[in-house]
Amino acid sequence: MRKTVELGGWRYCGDILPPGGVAVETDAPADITVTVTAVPAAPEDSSPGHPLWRNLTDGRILLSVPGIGRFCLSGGDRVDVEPAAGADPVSLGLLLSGPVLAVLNRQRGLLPFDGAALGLNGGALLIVGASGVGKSTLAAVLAQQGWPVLADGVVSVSSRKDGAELIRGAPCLRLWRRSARMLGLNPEEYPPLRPGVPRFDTQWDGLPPRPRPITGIAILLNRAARPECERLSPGQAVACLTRALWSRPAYAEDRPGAAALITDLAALTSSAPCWRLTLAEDLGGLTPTADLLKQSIGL
Amino acid sequence: MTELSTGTILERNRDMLFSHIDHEVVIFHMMKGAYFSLDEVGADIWSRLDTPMTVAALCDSLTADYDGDGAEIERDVLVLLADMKDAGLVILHQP
Repeated sequence: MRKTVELGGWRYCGDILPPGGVAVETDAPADITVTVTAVPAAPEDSSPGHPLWRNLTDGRILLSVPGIGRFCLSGGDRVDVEPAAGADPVSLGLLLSGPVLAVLNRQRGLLPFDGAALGLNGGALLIVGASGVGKSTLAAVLAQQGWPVLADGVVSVSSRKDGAELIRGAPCLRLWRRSARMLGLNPEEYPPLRPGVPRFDTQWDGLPPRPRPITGIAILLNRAARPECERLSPGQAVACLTRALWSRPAYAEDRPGAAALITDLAALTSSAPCWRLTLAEDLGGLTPTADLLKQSIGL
Repeated sequence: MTELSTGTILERNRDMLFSHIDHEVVIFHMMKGAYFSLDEVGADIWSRLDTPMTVAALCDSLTADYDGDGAEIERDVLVLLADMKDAGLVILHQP
């Protein structure tokens, strides 16, 4: 019998599931169905394109990861997977809850940001940006000051002209061992992302799960000796936010995809204040960075 | 490499995808997969370059419409155009 798990507010049902999910009743409707089956190879007659992502003419998107497997994504809710011979099931599952989920989000018309979300003024403050820059750790610093945690990882946002909302999430922050220890946490109390990798899913206080309006966006793109925070215009924020999206080559490297992305990002940045936040280089500088962000927000 | 001077003819790179957001413009460079934003004045320059023109003609038209010293406007425009050229947003031709 196929299992169903919930992770990050998304319910997966299928033959392969992301690690760290919580088992739920199998008769509950799934958001994402994963089926192990034959997946077509990337068409040879297509343009050179991205080495991992290919768009098929019928709207399906292929992800091919050597040594792991091929994924075919369609309709925002269906994943066909053909694992490579001897593929690590944990690696397959991690791709499901990261880049694959992001593309499914985009197929649903959502914006899949790389980052975290915290409760602010009855809505959600997004902390998004470049991979590995310290988004989750900064979110954890604020969470220790009492901010509820709403999401981490693929942060799914609905953006329309009448407003933007954080759609899903869970009160969990994925932290490296060094960051967890710096925050005074004992990482061994939390499940590791995968055996041998010093990264842990830490649990925090959250809020009841429901869509929440976006009340602000902090964009983290780099680090410097001193933290800085600059309010961005909507256009500046659009250009910065394109660097804070998961799996962008899969859906925004052609003209229609890029046009749709700009439209959705413009609706978002026109409805919520955005800041470019530069983190202090050392982890010890995160508290001043958090203070600077709070000051910019007006707290 | 074509250098910027007042006689240089400017042309928008037609491979760009762009969208106006309020008074700004966001431009997508398809070959680089990179996004750029131009502020209100940059967006105005982008609009004027819909028709190829020389740097001198661009500066003259801006001087006619904006407050400020012509030499100062030309200096600021050359800085912006150099950035736009480096980003591949405009193509330069010598007359």
